[in-house]
Amino acid sequence: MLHLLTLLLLAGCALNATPPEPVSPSSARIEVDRQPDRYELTGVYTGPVTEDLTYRLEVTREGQSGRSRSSQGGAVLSDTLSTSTVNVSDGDRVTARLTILDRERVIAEDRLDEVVDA
Amino acid sequence: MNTSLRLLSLGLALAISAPALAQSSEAYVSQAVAQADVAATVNGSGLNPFEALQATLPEVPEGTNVLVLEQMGIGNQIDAQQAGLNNRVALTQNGDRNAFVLSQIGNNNLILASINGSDNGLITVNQSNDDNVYALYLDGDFAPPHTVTQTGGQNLATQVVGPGSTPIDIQQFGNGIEVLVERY
Repeated sequence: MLHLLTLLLLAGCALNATPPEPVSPSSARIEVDRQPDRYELTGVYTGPVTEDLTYRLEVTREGQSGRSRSSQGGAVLSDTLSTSTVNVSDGDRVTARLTILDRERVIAEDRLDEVVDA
Repeated sequence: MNTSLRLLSLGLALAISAPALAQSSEAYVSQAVAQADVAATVNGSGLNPFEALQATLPEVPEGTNVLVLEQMGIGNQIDAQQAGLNNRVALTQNGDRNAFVLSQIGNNNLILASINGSDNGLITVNQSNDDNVYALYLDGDFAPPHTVTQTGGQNLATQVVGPGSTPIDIQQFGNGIEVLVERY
């Protein structure tokens, strides 16, 4: 009898148990505002923010005028991260990489690689 | 007025006046405070960093590298390099624990930097070849020693730093040099 009650109790608990909340997926996105003479690239993070999160936004533009390369990083405090703006002209190649790290582990990433066709 | 805009205005004004300077062919300058009233040249323009940089572009040939970097947050870090005939960087960091390393190789190099925050880290700037202009506005309580190296002719380095900032090391090699540092 005691076993039966225990089983019923456990079954009741299982039915009433709150299902675990789904873990919000983390994502990284490079938003690009393409103007005729420049690209504005903004790193955007979507997901839970913890104190261990950092980001790195690397942008390179290569073309006839030469090369500009930047690497920005810091703590993830909000959705919008750094912004990097480079001037562009026809034929320039713009590459970018945004990574979100939880300590040393990459949890989200986005890339851009395109040739400017203004 | 927004401090970054003040800096950018300062940088633009100094960029125009830089070529008129001429001193020894090689110099090393390390100073904590220089009595230079750079604040007098600061005026309000309402320009954002990119617009401020664009204002300099008509005076240089086509084929200029332009890079505008903006960060807000904690632990901001920037590492940027430019290689080309004409290089321009506008940098803004808002938040604590800022650090940046900038390198420009080419003629007509311009760096306009604005830092608003405390506990700042490494600041290293290298500009090589002729016509180098560097301007920093640092509004924060603490900054460790940082270095600026300019190699080539017509170098100008100017800084407006907060009360807690420690001395800067500016090394300039070439003809036509000037250093302006203001501590407030």
